[in-house]
Amino acid sequence: MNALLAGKDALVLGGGEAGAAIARGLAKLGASVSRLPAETPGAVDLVVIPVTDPGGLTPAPLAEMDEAEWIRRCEAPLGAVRVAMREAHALLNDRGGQVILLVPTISMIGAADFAAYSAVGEGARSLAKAAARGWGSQNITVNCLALTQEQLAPGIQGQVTETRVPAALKTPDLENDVASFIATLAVGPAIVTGTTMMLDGGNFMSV
Amino acid sequence: MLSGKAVLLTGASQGVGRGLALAAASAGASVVITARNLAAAESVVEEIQARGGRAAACRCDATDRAEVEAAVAVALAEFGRLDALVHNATSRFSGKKALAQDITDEDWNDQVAVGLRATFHCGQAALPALRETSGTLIVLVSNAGIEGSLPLVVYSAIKGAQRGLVKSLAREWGPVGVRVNAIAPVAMTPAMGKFFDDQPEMKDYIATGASLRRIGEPEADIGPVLNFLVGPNSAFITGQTLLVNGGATMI
Repeated sequence: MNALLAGKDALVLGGGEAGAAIARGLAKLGASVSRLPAETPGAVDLVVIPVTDPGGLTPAPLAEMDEAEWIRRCEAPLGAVRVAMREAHALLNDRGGQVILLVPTISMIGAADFAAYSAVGEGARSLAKAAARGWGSQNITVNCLALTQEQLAPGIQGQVTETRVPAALKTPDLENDVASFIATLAVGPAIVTGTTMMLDGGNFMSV
Repeated sequence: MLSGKAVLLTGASQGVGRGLALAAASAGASVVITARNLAAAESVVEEIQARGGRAAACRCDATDRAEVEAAVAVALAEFGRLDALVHNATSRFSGKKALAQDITDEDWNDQVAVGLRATFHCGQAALPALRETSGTLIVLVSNAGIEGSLPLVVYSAIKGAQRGLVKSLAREWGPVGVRVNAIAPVAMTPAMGKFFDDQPEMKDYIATGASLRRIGEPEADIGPVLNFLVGPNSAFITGQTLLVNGGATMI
């Protein structure tokens, strides 16, 4: 086992199967991984916040959505990111560390019938940037990793139609590739913050 | 440029919204001025009419779906069409400073309501009329939603979220001929003036941060960009954020 994260405490907040895969991957790299703030030892080195779609990435045309559905698909998940960021800060405050948000590439490029989730993704990215500016003095970095819909919600291929360009590389899998990338960030010097890194295998290249 | 077109603006009684409304009216558009303060909206209507333009006022809290629908109905009743809905209204908390860990529920909920739920209402209410005119939805966003702002953390999140919404709606509504774009202005407004009263050093800081070394004027600097996005010369532009900031941010 590569124990790159030996001695590190990590928290992976929610995220369904995507969050579970990242948690397994970080554990394989030696981290002690919690899935709830209450399960942590009181402070952690790394917090991962998957920004997933409560609608399960099912299409939701804006014109057909009622207000309750809008709140469920947009306002509630963005509010959950805000709460997660607050929890992350409380757990990282004593010793610094990293916050990683897993955001969807479709919010960056736009996708028909996913306006609500796109708002969540881009809102989360902007929140991360603003937090990064505020938390740098506490040695807390905040970055985003942009993932495809297939990575964030396995099994939904074909529902999002805007990402038609083939990826240059194989799509990184969460448990091995993305978790390893997170680990590399976690053990390296704290010199990157407020940025978004594309981990989609070279699909979306316009940033 | 906009003769025969009708434009509805939220939050148009002052600041950038007022400037956009004056510019659109000067370009020949008929304009519906909406604001939560009807008297303030009516004063902008009088200003436009005094210049020889056409305008109507309507009280509208954009967080209330029924009031947004009523405002669209005013445009259709008064001017027979709607070519653009411009969502400019912002929360009274939009200038509130708070670190990410200190955001209050009151601050967050109000900015979500005015920034996001209102955009949702505006889009839904306007879409049928915009389909008739191959019209456009335009959302006023901010550089804070692109770069992230340290004192304005909630504002950053909401403006970023609006940009995500704009991009996906542009893809969703493009096939039916409706364009969706955003404008990210830096312009002198009453809110910005108050901010400078509290922190006078920030005026020079912001002005010198722009390549053109000044802060924009709503009507003169931002208005023409709105007119371009509403007019015929932008018919092939959708899903974009136009930064109108004198070169403060360059992406």
